[in-house]
Amino acid sequence: MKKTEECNRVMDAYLGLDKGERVPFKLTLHLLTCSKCRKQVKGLKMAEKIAKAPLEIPVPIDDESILAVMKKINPRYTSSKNPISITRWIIYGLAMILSMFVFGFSKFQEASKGVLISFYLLFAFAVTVYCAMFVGTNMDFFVKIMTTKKVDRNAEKAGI
Amino acid sequence: MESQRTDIEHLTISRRDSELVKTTLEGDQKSFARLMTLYKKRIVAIGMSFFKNSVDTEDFVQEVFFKAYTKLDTFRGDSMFSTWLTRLAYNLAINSVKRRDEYVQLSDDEILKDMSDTPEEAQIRKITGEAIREAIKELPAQYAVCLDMYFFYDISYAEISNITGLPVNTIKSHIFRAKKILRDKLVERGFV
Repeated sequence: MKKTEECNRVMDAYLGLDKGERVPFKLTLHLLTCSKCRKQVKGLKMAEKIAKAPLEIPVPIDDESILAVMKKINPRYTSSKNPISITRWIIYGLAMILSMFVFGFSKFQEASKGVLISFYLLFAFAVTVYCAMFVGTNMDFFVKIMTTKKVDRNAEKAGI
Repeated sequence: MESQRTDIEHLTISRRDSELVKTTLEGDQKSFARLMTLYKKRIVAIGMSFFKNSVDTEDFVQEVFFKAYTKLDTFRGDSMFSTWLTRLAYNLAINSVKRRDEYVQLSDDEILKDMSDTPEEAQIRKITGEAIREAIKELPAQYAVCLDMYFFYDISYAEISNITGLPVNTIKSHIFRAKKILRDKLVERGFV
């Protein structure tokens, strides 16, 4: 009976907490020892997380109403959506590397050392330029990945 | 523990938005387009609740963002950009001549259907909607929007009070009741 009263008191205190508000130590202590309350808290957290998720999904940059507003702001505005997908970048990159390898090996016997060195230098230069262009035109994608990883690392450090 | 995660998330979002506002004010219009991609769904949801049709909602969305752009220099950063934008949208909606009398609860809306939902998540989302509708039955009409703001828009008590001008303690007690109903429903349906 005493346990139920304590559970009710703790759950009422928990339900009164605001978004982002730190759970008081007393409540945390009770949650550590009471699986019933812990399950309820876990369920509530999950419900709140699921409820807010759909409104947090961004819309595409070339969305019609976004373009309409941007045209009002600046009539010459154009969406800068990347026309080449990441998958295509990877496929074309691999095809380029593969064709260079095939060409290099097929000429390996007949070509002189100087020609081969020039070829491989050109090969290295082409791959470097391609990689730089890939990263440069997909900067948003890499920044997003790095930000997500940073948030996860911080969360891990905080023991969440 | 969860609150620490929320703190980190809020800080990350706040920094990202402040940076986008700053670069917009420096003349980079693409940064403003990015802000719109992040908050369009939220503004559409507010519009649908107040106008109940997609044509007026589309006009509303464009009006909100255009006004936000023209008034961006008044954003001082003492609240989150999302709160500032929501307050602007809320004020435009309640003062609009096209606005319908009754606010429509977001828990019914198509916009909340997430294609990535697992069956369990869909069920929990449905229960949350039921709990909010049940809590709202006994509330004065103006508080319906507060429950939506807390559960679906992820806005804190103080920020809701800041946006709507309603007293924070009253908001808190109504949300408390909705949470209690939600908890009971989750227990009843065997989710906890």
